[in-house]
Amino acid sequence: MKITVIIPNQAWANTAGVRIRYNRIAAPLEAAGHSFDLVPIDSLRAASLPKSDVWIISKCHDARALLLAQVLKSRGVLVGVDFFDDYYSQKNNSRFVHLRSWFRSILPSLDFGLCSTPNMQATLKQLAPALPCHVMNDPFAQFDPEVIAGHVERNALRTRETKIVDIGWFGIGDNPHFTLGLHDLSAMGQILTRCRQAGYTPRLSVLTNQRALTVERLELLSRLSVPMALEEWSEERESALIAQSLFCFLPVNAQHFSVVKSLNRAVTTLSSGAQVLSAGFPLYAPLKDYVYRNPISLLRDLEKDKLKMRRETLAALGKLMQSSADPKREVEKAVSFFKKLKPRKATKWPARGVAGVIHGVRSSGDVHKGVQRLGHLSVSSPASKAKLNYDVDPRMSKDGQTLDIHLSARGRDALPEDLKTRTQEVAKQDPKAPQRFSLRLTRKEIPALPRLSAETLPGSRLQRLEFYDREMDMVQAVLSRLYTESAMVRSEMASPYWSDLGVAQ
Amino acid sequence: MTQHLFASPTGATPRETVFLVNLLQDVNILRGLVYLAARETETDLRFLISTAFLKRDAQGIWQREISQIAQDVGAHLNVFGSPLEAFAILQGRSGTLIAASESSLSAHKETSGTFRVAPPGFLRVTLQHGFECVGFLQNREHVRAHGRNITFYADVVCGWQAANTLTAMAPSQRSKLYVTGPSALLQAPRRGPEHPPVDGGMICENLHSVRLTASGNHRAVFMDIFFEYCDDLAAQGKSVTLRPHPGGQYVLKNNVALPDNVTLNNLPMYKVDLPAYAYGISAPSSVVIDMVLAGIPVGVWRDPAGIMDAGNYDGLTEIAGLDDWRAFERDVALRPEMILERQRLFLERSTMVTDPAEVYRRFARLLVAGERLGQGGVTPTAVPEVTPAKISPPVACPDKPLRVLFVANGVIPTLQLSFLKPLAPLLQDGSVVHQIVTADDLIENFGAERASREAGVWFEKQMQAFEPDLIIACRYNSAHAARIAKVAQARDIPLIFHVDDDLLNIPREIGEKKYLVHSNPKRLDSVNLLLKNSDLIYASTDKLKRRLRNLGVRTPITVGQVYCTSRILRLVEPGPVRRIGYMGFDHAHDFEIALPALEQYLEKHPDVEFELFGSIPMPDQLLRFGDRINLVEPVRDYAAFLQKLASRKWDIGICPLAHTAFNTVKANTKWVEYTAAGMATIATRGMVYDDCAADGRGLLIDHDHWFEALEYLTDHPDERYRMAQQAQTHLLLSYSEQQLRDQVLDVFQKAIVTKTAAQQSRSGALAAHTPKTHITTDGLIEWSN
Repeated sequence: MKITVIIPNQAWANTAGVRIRYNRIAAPLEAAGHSFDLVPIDSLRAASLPKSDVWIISKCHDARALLLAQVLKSRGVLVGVDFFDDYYSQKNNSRFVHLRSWFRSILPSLDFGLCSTPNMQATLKQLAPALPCHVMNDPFAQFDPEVIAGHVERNALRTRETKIVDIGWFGIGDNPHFTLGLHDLSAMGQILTRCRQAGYTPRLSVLTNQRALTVERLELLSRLSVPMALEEWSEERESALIAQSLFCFLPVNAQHFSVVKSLNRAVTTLSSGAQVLSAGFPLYAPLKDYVYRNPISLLRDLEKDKLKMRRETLAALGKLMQSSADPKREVEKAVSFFKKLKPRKATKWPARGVAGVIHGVRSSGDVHKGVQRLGHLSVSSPASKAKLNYDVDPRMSKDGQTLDIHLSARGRDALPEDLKTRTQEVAKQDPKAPQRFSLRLTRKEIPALPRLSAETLPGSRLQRLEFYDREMDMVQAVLSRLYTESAMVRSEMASPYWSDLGVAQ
Repeated sequence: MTQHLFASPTGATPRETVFLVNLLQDVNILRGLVYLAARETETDLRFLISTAFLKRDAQGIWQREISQIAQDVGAHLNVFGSPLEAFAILQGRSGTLIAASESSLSAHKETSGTFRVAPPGFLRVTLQHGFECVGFLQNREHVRAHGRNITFYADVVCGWQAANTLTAMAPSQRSKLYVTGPSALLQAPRRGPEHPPVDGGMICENLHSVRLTASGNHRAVFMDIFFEYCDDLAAQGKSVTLRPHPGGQYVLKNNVALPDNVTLNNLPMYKVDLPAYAYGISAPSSVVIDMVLAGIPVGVWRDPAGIMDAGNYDGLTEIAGLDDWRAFERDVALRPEMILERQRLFLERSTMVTDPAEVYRRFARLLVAGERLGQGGVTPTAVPEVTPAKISPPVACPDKPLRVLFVANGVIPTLQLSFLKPLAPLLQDGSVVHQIVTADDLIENFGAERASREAGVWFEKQMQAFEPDLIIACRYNSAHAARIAKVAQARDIPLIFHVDDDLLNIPREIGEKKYLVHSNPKRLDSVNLLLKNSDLIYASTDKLKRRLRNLGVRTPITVGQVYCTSRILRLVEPGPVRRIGYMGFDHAHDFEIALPALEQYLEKHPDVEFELFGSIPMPDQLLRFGDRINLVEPVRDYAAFLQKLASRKWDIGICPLAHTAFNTVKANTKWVEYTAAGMATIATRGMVYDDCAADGRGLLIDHDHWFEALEYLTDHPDERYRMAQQAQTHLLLSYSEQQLRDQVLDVFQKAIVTKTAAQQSRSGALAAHTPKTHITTDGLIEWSN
């Protein structure tokens, strides 16, 4: 079986998510006779899509993924999405309009969903009851009982002798949409002062990403109730930090987004040799025999030399890890899941007419290029802000009576003959510029065109938001007139107009 | 962020007073406080300077001012471009963090951001930085632009006036208020040679201010009247001085042509001799208050239509059109007391603290409190009610020579290089008169009876007979130390104890004989006595100061930035390495570190000679190299010693230093001496040479790389030549005798100040009367009775 994971770009291959979730299963997959590939979505071309039995779309929340899923579905291969985060169930949150829209749009093309926790599986079950969903736990990198025992014993001995408890916190400190990371540390860090009750001095080391270190978050760190050291995160530093800490502090808040997170931080901590102190939402309950909820209990166990994770308990922990985080086992379960699925029959897509993307307020050049590489149309709307070489670019006259449509060669070639003959080549100012054509239609030629003219377009953002759907309908009406049928998806990288309202996302 | 951001999280760090500089005006506001902190606290001083400040100060005027201040007080300098960088600098430190201008306004985001991220061990203090100041006392334009609810991230907010007159202070901030008076009163102007001639009145322009444009084009009106006034004065043969606002600089930035009878004065305010001017005129601005406090008649200009809000200046003499200006000038000449009386009443009503001595006391209390506060959150209520401030008396009268008595074990190299050499010009021109009394004199006169009472009496008489103004015990650890302290106490003169080694912990490695001598309990008693009873300890390095503090020494300690200086005695010579050497006295254990590598090196390079200069015997291992090795006998006179060293023409000098506690606090003397003698230096990394030999001014190595280092410089003669040249450039710039001379004089000054403060504190004079003020050489307002 050949499995291909689609990621947003090459740089993504170096992120913690990819490292933890995919790189750790690559070797066991290949050992079991399967092949595995990570492919950036921006490298795909319509004419040369690689052959693969299973396609997993990962963290590509844009219109390219929507088109790609359609294309793959039409070729009769298995298509699924690996749902890392829950951006879809917060129905009352207007920030995620575009992501909920993306979810709804891609759902019909999917054969399966993949996620990393039972909580996320349950969420998906509610949102898409018919979608087969498999939990693939984040696998551990290695589980070497001898190394772990060495770290545990050395840290325990040092802590007992010095009465200084080295505590680690590591991870992404921020999220563009949710308060978590360093906010959780700040909100729940008070618990660490209990170390003093037990006669120990806490000493916290924090590893996080530089982007997270804004004034607000630095202020949170500066006001922690325990002495704190700060460094920028790196994989090497994370390994060193965990290996030198008696325990890592893993606070989790109880918002939807956080409760469906994977167990990977606890798994990483335990398999790298530190105890886990959890606070807030009991995300790590599946590992509860090895997870503390109170530092005093942890330090009492330390004094009795009975820490939850110690040489004598490592065998049992190893078994638990194997059942929930062993890469080989996770691979076996995933392959078994894929084998049970039946791909749909290959069909032509689009059956008639054209397919493509209508760019909204906050689209991107990458989407524009990606759509064209997949052989489909990139279409502008009145809301589009970027100046791109669109395949179809309709522009309403000031009086709202005529529509001048600018076309690329691809847009013109797809026109029916009667319209094609009406197009005129646009004189080029730059000889290197691609060929462009124009076509003028009157309002009467497009009966479904909503009342809309350049002059009536209002100025305020809230008014523009109200007009948004009408603008998109106008483009859709134009496309229907031009190509009879069109399968279009909207491209929005953020909620339309939302981010322009001066409100932090 | 690539740097490791963190310093010791739990380890005790010395407390610091950190001054945050962001706006150009901040320098003027903070300057007096910096000197006060240097004088009144034991904290390390640091400037934290925003990159925004550096951009604003395009001409570098204020950077030079900061450099001068930092040099005067030995402050560290750091620049930060973002709150993260400020956090990185402050992390692991504690103390008092002071900003001249901080608030929730975006214009202050650099300082407020730093306050927000500052570790909890800092007491954060901001200052009212102008008479009308956002969050304290606002005018109508302030309110329009910023509203009424300005808040501060500071824990303590220092205001000029009583709370009831600070009408713009938000209710949420009032509990933070600590009334100090204007910090500008901590400094009085010193009229230096750069001061332009004082002639007539001082007209101050603040045309950049929003106040002059918000309600009309008052700028043009002001300038029109100013030009007419100048013409008027010119007709009478009179002149006037124009002072641009330090931040705005409107007339300069806009190249406004000025009449011939206008003199420009663009010096920092603390260098302007305001009281010397006949009068002052300004639109509403803090400079009005500066001039009022300077005691000259002041006219507050308001636009003739009366649109501008000048309500906060009610009671002062208001002038508008040209006729008013003329009338004001006439009144200044005929009835100045009338104007001055108005000003007195204005100040009285304002409740502003205007007595410089009281301002000094209040700030001193705050800084001393900040020094004493422990780690953790701090509230203004934690500031102690009263902490007696130390007070500075005048330095020795300039027309009378300063009589300095040096007491030392002998005329030791330290005495020569730390005092006699840098002070030589002053000793020659008679402005400083000195005498040296030594323990060697005791031996000469009393031999084995040198510790006897009789010898002590003689010793004391020698000291008394000189009638010193100041006593310096230089590394003294011989007999009769108590008599030195007694003489100082009896004559009420300052006693400075100069130390350049940890004299309480001389290691055995330095040589058995020397170890036994210096570890004699009687000698240790002498050291302890002088550490305890001196008015000031003058330590050679910061690390030595820390060591003494760790040993429980509570006497004020000052640290010199420069220990040893030298001019260049021999220029670096290019070419192959022909001779290398080690110079040292009783430091055989240090030299032995490099010995194996040296043997190996000499074996490999038969053309290279090695010399050992000093009192260490030539090691047996090197004897086999025959006439390629040479022992140079020590020279006692320091100047002759340096000349001798230069004459040896070594291409490389080596500085191996064992990693001992004793060596950690030593000074970088060897690098200075080798560099002056035209030699490239190879030195042990992680000890005392890391700064001076950094950036290619020497080769810093670990102990297992001596051979490689010698090989490298031998194989790369151009590199050796360049290295030694760079070192000599650095020596010229940073280790001049002038710098050391200034430093020594500053130490004398500090000792006198400390002594007088202690006297007044003991006598209760502070509470008994209100002393008069006077100006010191560095422009600070100080007490005199």
